[in-house]
Amino acid sequence: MILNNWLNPEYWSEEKIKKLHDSFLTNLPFPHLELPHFVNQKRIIKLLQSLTKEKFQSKQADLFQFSQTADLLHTNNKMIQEFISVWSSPKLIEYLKKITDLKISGKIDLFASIYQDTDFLLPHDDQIQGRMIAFMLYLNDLQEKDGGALAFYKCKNKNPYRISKMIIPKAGTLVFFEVSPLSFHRVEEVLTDTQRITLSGWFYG
Amino acid sequence: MVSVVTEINPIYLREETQQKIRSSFLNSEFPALILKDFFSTKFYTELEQKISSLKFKKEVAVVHHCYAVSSFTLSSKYFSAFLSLVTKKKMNDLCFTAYCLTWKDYLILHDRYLEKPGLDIIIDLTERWNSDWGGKVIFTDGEGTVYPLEPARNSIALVERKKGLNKYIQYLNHQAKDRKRILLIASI
Repeated sequence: MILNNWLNPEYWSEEKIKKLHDSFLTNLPFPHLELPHFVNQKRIIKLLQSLTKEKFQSKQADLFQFSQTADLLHTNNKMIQEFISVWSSPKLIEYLKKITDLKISGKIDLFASIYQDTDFLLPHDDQIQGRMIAFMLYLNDLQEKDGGALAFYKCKNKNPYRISKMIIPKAGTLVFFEVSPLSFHRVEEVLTDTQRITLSGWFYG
Repeated sequence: MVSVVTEINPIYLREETQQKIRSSFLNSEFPALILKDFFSTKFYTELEQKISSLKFKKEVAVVHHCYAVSSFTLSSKYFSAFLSLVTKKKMNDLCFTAYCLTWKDYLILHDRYLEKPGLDIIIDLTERWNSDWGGKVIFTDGEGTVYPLEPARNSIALVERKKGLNKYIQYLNHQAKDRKRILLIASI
């Protein structure tokens, strides 16, 4: 089974899924999960190797500065294609539906991003029609001193006002959250020469 | 006329220069003008001192801005007359917002904070600023065209905010260290 080559079996028991469901819905400041070692470490390394063949484009606007690939759904890269088939597989979609209670279809967007020294993503909520779950799969480790943490904002009267959770990237960790009017988040500026490399995108309804 | 000379760089007081500036402002595709070394050294130094003595207050609206601000009125009939001549708009004393940006500060675009068409007068009071540190004022038409204003001390930028034109200030990154980016902006 191809999924077993990719995903950590510890997360797939019915009991575990029930626990994750409860955690997802009750986690603050908005529904989310952080799942360490979700993707097999060997596959993470292969994904990293595959991404060296992808073209990254520097992107700059008021809200962000980083480098990103085009939508990877159109890649010819076999390893990334395999990842996409896992990521949009009925089994994974069903799994996420059980955890989140969200009616996602198999439609996804997928990009790879590299944040280097001084790159950042300022606060926003990710809301665009159809997006239901945002996800990030971290492909390398960062330390607190490197910056690049994912920060979640707490809202008051639907306005974000302070950071209440920070997630430091670790290779193989999957983070996902419900896209909603409250899902304000940012990526802290990278402060060192360490790159922050992720696969990220959205599951659509 | 002595007062005029003590406030504004004499090069900008020549009638020929003023005509060129006026024509350039009114006819350029991106309706903006940047005038470098605008104020006389003496006036600029006094202005810097006044601004540095202001009490700045940190303002944060997470989805839109993070910076410190104060207010400042620039009373100079010669400066106002110069602006009136160039822009063809009547100017009196100008009420500026003084901005002090440091590491992690920003001004981003947000639907809730869009500006109406008008005129921006931007005075740059930042010493030795490197664009790699961020902090650049950038105008955008919302359709992918951007008009960056390069930081330059003692410069003024006049920008006509046509419909759909809005500005942001790039995030200031850690390379700025403890330096301050100081701007005076009057939005008319």
